[in-house]
Amino acid sequence: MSVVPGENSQDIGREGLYKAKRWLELSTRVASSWTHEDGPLAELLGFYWPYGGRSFTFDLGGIFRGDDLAEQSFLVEVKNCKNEGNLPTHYRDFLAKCYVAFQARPDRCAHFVWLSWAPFQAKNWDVHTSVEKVRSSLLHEANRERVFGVQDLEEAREQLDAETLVAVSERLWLLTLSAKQERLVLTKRHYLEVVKMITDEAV
Amino acid sequence: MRTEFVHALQEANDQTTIDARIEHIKRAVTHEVKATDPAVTVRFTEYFNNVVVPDMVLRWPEESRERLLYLRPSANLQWLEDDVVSLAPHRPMIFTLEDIDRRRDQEVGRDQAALRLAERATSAETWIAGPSAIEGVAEARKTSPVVGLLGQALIRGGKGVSTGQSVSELTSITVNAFNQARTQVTQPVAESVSSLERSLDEQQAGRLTRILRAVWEGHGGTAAAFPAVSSTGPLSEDDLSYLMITLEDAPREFWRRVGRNITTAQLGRLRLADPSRSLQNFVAANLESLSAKGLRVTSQQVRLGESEDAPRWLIDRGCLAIRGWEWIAHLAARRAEELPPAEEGLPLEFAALRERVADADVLVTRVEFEKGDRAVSYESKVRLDILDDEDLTRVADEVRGMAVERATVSLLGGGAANVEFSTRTALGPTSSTLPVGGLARAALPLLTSPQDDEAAALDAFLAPEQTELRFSGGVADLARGLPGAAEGVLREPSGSAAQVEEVDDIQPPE
Repeated sequence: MSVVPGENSQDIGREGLYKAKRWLELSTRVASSWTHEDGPLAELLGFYWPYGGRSFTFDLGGIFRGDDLAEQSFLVEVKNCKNEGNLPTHYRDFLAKCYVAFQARPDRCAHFVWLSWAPFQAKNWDVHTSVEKVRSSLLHEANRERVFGVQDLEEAREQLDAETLVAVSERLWLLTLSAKQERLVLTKRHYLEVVKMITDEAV
Repeated sequence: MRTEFVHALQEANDQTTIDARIEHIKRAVTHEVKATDPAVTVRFTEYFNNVVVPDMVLRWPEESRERLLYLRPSANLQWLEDDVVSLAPHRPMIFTLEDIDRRRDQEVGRDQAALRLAERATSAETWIAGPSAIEGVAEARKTSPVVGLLGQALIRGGKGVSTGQSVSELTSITVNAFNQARTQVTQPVAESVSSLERSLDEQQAGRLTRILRAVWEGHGGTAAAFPAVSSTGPLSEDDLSYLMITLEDAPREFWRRVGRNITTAQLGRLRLADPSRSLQNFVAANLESLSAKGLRVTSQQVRLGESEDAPRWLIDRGCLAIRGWEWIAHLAARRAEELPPAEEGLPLEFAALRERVADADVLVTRVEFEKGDRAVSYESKVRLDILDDEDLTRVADEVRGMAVERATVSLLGGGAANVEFSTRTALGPTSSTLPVGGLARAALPLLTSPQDDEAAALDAFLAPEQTELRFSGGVADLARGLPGAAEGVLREPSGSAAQVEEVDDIQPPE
């Protein structure tokens, strides 16, 4: 299903998106990536809510490389926030998006990455990626209609796919960056060496 | 944006897997780059749209040069500016899949951001270009070798930000400058030099301005009147090698303009793969202005893997050379010592000489016979043909065992060459040099004994381009037609009246 990118959260500045992309790629473990701004590939980030006919996009997607991550796809939601703000709400939406995306295109959903510059609900940090958290997010009234086409909690619960809940839970990454942390990468000189090594192997 | 590129991107979008889509995008960009610089070799990394690692590596093996190419699907100016800063050490090319000046969501302050990006990219010697910029040079190069050169220079050393419009302006200015350089109009040439130096790194700008200057000087302009440039100096062998490798499709007129101040010695130092179409056109266009001290023919079978095209120009053993049928003729630019060692050969029977001359457009003004350690020479004091002189024929018939060691041939347009048959060498007398075309036309028929079809091919190969230099009967026929034209001086092989000479090798000039 081809989706025209439509949803573009006002919270996410281009700056945050670029910083997130840059930090991920400086790990050297991202082979390919694209943002919702990258015309020819942006549609790879787009999905439709099962009900209501509206679409949504992730901010960033791509393919990891090397070792255990080789050739595995990922989708990223970037939140360039200084504090918690309404991150809990956004995270709840994010989990619903992950569930819908996995059911539509599991090949693009090997990993779901939540990348923000502030934590949220830290007392419950350890359960943010749990199956129960995914389930409760999907059953929230904000998601019932667009995901299951019903308002009733029990009717929505009946439609939940347990395997998808587990799959989403297992694929979740919670990354919290800080400005200082963005600097904690290889030196420029070492990156030049890495680039030289890689380009020598270009085919 | 070229139609081919639009179609290629559409095809990429139709791919079902992400890998296939990226592969198609990279191939589409490769076509664009190669349409601008056919000499480039493109390699892919396993990365796409990465902030550190390039998508492609552009290489020019003959120049030991490479440039990294970073693909950017969108032309976000802020992101591009960050790229320029972080990628500056590579001085890369950044190719945006969408045009920089036609972005759908025009950002606030975009004009100022574009100016800032252009300044930063220029100072970082990074070239940012979109599909329309590439189209500008890729399409124009089909009709203009100068634009071809410019496009290749941009791929190799472009800097700043190029849009379809800016490339169009740059190509117009450059083409105009090359045209105006022929008539030494300073203003457009100065404007072009300024544009080139603003758009290209020092090496690429230097090349183009030196070529522009070569055209300027080739048409009589003085070096002093040429606009000030960062890179001075005449066209180097490196420049010319670069031109010949990159402009295989340039017409002869272009090579004639560029070739005015190029010497045969410089040609001998070129690094060119054989066969080179550019070299064929270059020498053919400058056959009458290139000069050489002489030439030497040696036997050479077609080597394994060698082109069987003959005759053709090539660079061999540091000399410009003509590859023939089982022979090769090297040209010495200034001194006979430049020639490869001669083969041990024999003088030519007089009858064989007459036979070769009869088939060729050659005027023989002197022959020197040799027998043992004695020699007899017979020459025309007024430099007209002597081969049909009865006295000469009688001497050749009566003294058995005599063979022609040397002959002097006159060249159309002036000059003479001394031909030595035992070494299959023709040299200009004393310190003179000869036009390459005239020398080869006069000497090769005598030194190679071509078959009929080979002779015709050689004639066509060495034919002067200017029709006014063509003639129907040939200089030898014209000379032979003049009554009493040859005033031979017969020297007896012995006796008081005879002048007997010790045989010396042809002396190399100083």
